[in-house]
Amino acid sequence: MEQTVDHSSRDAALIARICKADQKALEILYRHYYNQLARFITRVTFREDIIDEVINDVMFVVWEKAVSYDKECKPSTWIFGIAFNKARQAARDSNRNSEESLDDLDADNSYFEEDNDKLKQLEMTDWLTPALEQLTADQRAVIELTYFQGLPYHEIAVLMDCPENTVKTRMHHAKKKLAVLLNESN
Amino acid sequence: MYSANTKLNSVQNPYAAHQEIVKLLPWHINQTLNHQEIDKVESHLKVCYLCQQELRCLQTLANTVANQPFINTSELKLSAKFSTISARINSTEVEKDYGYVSVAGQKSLGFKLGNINLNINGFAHKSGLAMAAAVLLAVLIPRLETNVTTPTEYQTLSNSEIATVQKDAIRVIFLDDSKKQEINALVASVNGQITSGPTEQGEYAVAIKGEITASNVQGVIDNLKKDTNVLFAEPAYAMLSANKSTGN
Repeated sequence: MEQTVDHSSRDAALIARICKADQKALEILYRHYYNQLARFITRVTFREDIIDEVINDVMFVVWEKAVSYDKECKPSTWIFGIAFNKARQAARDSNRNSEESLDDLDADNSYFEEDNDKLKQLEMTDWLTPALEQLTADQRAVIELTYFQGLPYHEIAVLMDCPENTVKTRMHHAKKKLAVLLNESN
Repeated sequence: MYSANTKLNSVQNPYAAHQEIVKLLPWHINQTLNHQEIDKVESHLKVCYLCQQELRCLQTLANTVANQPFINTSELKLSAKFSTISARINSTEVEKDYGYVSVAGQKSLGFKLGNINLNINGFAHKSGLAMAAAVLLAVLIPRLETNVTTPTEYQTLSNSEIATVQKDAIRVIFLDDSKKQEINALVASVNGQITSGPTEQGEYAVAIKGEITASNVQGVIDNLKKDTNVLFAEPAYAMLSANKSTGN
């Protein structure tokens, strides 16, 4: 779980500066979140080619909507929530011609055909990446947010804008789909 | 009432408790459950073989996800990537200040007359709309003379200021391993001269010599981008806030 240290107050202070049109604060926030967002977007969409476009859109929304951040959730939850929506939107837009749903993207292997070292590394380290392809984008997002970002289910519900029970059910169904591989690993 | 019923169900129907607990196990592993939930889960785990097995599977999944390689992007690349956002913000601020608003991919020309806003989409391609706009403008011209709102009075979310493009300058970031000689030769080849840099982020300011127009600045940028040593190139923007924020 990557985010073991709570950076909420640091990030909230940066967002307050962004409200005053401080681009330097946005740049610091961008640097703090880039790698985490890149991984999250990759995991949700299985599309490496839209990472920068989506992060660009996310940070632009942060810049434009910083004043609307109400502090009811953690800054990271707010930012990842924007990223989740933008990633889904970008994946849908880029596949609109073929009228694929986001879940149909799961079967798209073009992501792994690219000559990209970090993607190959992700693919080859274990059984997980091909296993995750069996899941829907929403299920993958729940797994990633739970076990890489270390978020509680109620925060994931806020981030994904759905009831808490939906988050639990998505995880439960994801685990059932992965059951065979997980049992083999044990 | 609800919790009493749930408790009753848990006592009378162990399967109901199992269904509830098994869905909490993923967050028992990432240690984000509250005390009450932890007590429930741990009590149940003592007597439920299925949940013990489920917990082991989930632990494997958690370890595998957590140990996946983390994407690491170099500071230099982050600087170049952020410059794209910065340019987008600056250009948007300029558009806002001059009343240009992007609507569904089409540019609109926006006028603000006192308390009345008028947007002419696509610059009034349809004659009917053009007529209506002309009539409305004729009625409102007296207001225009007495109550003109200047661009700088527009309210934006970010207390915008006007970003100006420095027509004779561009910003360039070269690859880490580019040699000074190569950089100088490349800049000279596009009739430019390094005026400052590199900054902490590896950014150079390059002044362009000779006759300056928007198209030849873009031509210089395009030529620079063709070179494999160039990571990033764009027109230089001058923002007051950029200078202010350096003190932070």
